[in-house]
Amino acid sequence: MSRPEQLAPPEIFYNDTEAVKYTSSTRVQHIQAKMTFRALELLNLEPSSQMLLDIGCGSGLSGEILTEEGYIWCGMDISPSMLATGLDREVDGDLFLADMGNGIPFRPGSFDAAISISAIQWLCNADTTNSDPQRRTLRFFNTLFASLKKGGKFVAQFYPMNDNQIDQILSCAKVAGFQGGLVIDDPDSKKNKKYYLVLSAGQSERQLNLQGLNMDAPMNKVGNNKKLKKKVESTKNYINRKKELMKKRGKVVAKDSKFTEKQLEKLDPTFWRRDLIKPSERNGGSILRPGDIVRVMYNTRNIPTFTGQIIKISKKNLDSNLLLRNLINKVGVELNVKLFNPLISRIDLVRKPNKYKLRNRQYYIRGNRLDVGDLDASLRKKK
Amino acid sequence: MKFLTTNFVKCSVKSCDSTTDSFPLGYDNCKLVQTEQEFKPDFILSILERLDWNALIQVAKDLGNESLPPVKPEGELLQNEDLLKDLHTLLIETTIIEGEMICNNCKHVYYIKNSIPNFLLPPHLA
Repeated sequence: MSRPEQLAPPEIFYNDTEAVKYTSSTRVQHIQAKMTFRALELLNLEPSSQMLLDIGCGSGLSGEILTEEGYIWCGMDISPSMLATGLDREVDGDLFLADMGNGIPFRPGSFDAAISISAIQWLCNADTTNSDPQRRTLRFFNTLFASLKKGGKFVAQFYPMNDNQIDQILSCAKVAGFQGGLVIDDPDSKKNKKYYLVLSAGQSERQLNLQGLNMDAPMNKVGNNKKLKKKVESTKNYINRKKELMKKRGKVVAKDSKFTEKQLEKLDPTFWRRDLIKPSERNGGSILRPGDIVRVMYNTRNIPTFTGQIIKISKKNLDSNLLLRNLINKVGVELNVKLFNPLISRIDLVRKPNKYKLRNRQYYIRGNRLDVGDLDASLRKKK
Repeated sequence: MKFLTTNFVKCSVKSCDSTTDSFPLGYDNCKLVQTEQEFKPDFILSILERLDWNALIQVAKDLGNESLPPVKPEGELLQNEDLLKDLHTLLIETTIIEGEMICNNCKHVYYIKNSIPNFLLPPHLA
C-alpha cells in the first residue's frame, strides 16, 4: 500500500497534477463514495436540513454525496490545488483553505455533525520542525468538539499506519471529551480493511448507528506457537477435535470411551498406583520424579524384579508408564514399565538423588559420564 | 463563501479562543455575488434557531446591508414565506467571492479569494 503521508506534506503532495489525477480516477471516486455512504450510515443523521463539516474535503468527492443527500456542508482542506479542482467542479458546499492541526475555525455549536474521509492520519505526521503531532491532534479534537453542537457526531475514516497512531488519535479524542471508539470494517481482509473513528460529543437523541457491530475485545491469537497452543487446549479437547476432523474426512474413529475412570477403579482400587504419579492428600504431594530409583516387583515368578533409575514418566491415564534404566554387566538396560499392569504387585521408591537433574526426559544421560552406574551394586554397598 | 457561513467562522489563532472578540470577524473590501439556489424552508427554520442574530446584523452592516430587523424573527412571523425567502436570499444565495476578514482581537487578516477563505496561519501564530 502506498502511503502519500510518507512522501510529502499534504499541501505539497496534492499539487495540480496529483489533484486532477486523484479526482478523475474512477477507482478513487468509487472507494470514496463507498466510504462516505458508510460514514453517513454510522452517523445516523436525521434526513436533510443539517449542517455538516467535511474535514479534508479535497476536491469535494465526499461533499457531492452530502449535497445529494440534502445536507448543507462546509469543507476544509489544506491543499489549494485540491480546492481549485473542487471549484472547477462547482461543488455546493463552502470551501475553506485551512490546516486541521491549527484548529477548526468555527464558533461553538456550528455543526450538527462532522465527517472526514481519508484525512486524519495526516495529523500523525510532523512535516515541519516546529510541528508536534500530539499537540496538533489535540488542538484538532478540542476545536472540533467545540464547533459541534451538543450531541454532535463525528465519523472519520482513516488509514492508520500502525497501532500506535490509533492509540494516539483515540487518546486525544478522549481527552477532548468525545465518547466513542473505533469501527473496523472487513477486519480479515488486508486490502479492504477500513478504520472508522466514531465519536459523539455528549448524548444525542439519535444514537450512532452501530447495528451489526460486535464490541468484543479482539481474541488473543494463539498463532503457530505449539507450546501456547498446548496451554490453551486441554488434551481431552485436542483428542476430540482430532477425532471430529478425522470423522469429517470419512475415517473410522474409535468411539468416545466413557469408562476410563471405571477401568482405573478396577485396576487400582487402593489408589497406590495413581498416587505414584499424581499428587493427592494420601501421598502428601510427593510423587515420583525422573532421577528417582525404584524397584518394581511382579506377582509372578516368570518376571524377575527390576531396579532402575527413572529417566522418563509419561502420564496418560491407563497408559501411564515409567522408563527405567540400569547398568547390568556393564550393559545399559532400559525397561518401560506400564504403571497399570495388573502383573505388578508393588513399586517401591528405593532412593532419591541428592540433586535432581534437569529435564523431565533425561535421555541425554545415556552413554556419557552422567549415565547410571550399576545400581544393584551401589544399593548393596549403601546397606 | 456563503453569507450564512460568516455566522460561524471565527479566528483560528489559539490565543483568540478565550476572547469573545474573535467572533464575528470584521469584513472589509468584499465583493458579493448572488447565485440561484434551491429554496428549502425547513433548513432556514432549523438554521434560524442556531444563528447568532447580533453577529448577523453586525456582519450585514460591514457588507452594507442595514435592512435587517433588530430582533430575531420568532413565533408567527416564521409562517411568513416572504420573510423566509428573504432570509434564503441573504443567507444561502449571497456569496462573498473576494475580500478580507479581520479578527477584532489579534487583528490578523484572512483573505478570501475565489470565494475560498484562507485560514492557513503563518508559523508564528500556528
